[in-house]
Amino acid sequence: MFEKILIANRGEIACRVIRTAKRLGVSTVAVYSEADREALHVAMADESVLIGPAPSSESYLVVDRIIDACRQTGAQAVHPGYGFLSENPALFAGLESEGIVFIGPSKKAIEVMGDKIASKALAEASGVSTVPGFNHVIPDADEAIRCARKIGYPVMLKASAGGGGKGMRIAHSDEECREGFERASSEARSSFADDRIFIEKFISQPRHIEIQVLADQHGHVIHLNERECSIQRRHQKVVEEAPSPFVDDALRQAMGAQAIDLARAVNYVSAGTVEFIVDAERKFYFLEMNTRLQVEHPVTEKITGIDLVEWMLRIAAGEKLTLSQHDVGISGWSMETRIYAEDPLRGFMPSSGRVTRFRPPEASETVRIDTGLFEGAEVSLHYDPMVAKLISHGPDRDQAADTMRRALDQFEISR
Amino acid sequence: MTFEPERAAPAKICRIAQTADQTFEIALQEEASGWSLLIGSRAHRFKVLGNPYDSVVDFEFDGHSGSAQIRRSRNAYEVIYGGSRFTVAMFEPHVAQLASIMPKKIQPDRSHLVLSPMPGLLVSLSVNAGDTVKAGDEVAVVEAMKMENILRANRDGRVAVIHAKVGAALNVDQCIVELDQEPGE
Repeated sequence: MFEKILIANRGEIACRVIRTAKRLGVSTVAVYSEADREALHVAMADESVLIGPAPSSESYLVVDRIIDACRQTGAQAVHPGYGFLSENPALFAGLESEGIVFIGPSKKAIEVMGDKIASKALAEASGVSTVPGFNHVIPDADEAIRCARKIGYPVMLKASAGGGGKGMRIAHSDEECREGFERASSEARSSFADDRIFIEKFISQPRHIEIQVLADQHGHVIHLNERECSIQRRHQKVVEEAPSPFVDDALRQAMGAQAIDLARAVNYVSAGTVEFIVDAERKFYFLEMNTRLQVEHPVTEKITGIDLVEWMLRIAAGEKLTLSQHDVGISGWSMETRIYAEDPLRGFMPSSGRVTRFRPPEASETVRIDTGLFEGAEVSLHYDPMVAKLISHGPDRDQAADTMRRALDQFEISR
Repeated sequence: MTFEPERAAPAKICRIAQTADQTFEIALQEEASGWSLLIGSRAHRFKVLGNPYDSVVDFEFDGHSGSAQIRRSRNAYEVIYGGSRFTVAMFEPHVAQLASIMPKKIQPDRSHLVLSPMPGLLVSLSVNAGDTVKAGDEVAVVEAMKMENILRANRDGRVAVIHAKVGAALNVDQCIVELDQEPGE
């Protein structure tokens, strides 16, 4: 096991990784921007390094600063969390050249799965079911309209470098297709510095169901069941649950097997998630693979009793996965709600400012809170608006929902 | 536990304002363990578990337990429950009668203004002073927390003044573009 790791992230995920590292006796290094001097993840870590001014592009996204921080502190490995540099091959490459371990998969796996066009091609080649569409770059709006007409409306325009719901637009007509192409390209250019767009059939009333996979460096790959993430706002997940109320054992086995096949096709190592969309007839189609820990991983942890961050650290340190597929069960039901700094009275626009009251419900076996926020902290405009995750667990779905409802009623947050 | 009207405290009027005012007549009767309520013609049982002055109040209503956040706000109560916020005012019956004839405040018409809906950055402007726009035309794009928002004209009109420069940091409700006001506004 590593003696010291650096967490290249902030907010709730940085706090969550530090929590497990502490439990395992691993020293932790936090990195922070000027806006995060007083942040919780900085206070929780054993050491911290200032890496730049507030904007992410000048701090959390600067590979060199992360590497400098590792050198300064002697960190042996880096956990990238989610978002930021977690799926950036440049971070992997930079760390590799310094002999620092990247807690995640290989550079090739990151590159292939980070490119939706390439990952879809790989999925097809591996016998994984994919969404009908045109798997090449669309050069302009006119071509988008031509392809859309061939596929048949409605269609989905997607950024190849996209993820997390960004750079996506649905089109029901030529005009929507034209505007959608322009807006998706623009959003992709500013969010991912890559404006390539491709086009697929839009599956209506889709369920968004994903499979958690875990693989070690010795060729063992297992899946840890599914998560249902269909409740979304503007393509951002808001409520997630495990297991899925729509998935039976047969579907779980089929999706799990394809997820493992895909992971093996890139010699996947560490925790990852294969996302599928499932239609009303239980036909499923590969959407994308996220080569990192996902925001909603806690619901899987609650029903399996497995600490995913702990396994990411162990696997990165070369340990063998001691769990077989047989050992992975489903215990009860878990739900997660994401708490966003958005104003519900203004169409959920981002809302910033100082949090004068932050009192989550009491943590217990049935209620878990993952957050980087605290009373008196500042929510700035520089980072993602998600500030906390509330996770419930119960013996069945209704009780998990009741527990969640009660916990939400008890959660005090105000400016 | 039966509701005995002669034992009850005089009824109060409860008005809940959400999107439309809802008014209820409530009579209360204190019991050994909690309260009996008569809401309209229906009887209910209510008990506060713990401290009723805590910001989060745990209660039992007709045997079901729950929690709500209650805060005094001017001469009413702000109640957050089930993901919604309610403004609840309690009145003596004669005050309620008078309250119902108080003049309502009319919100000023701001349809000639294009305001920033969130704190963010003005990424682009699609109009200049003097341009004519139609309702729904794109006027500006504001960006915040990695989200881009297209702002549109609320109605037809002529652009009178541009109040912000591209690249400017905007506050919530900051005016970006002002159209000519209609006569009579």
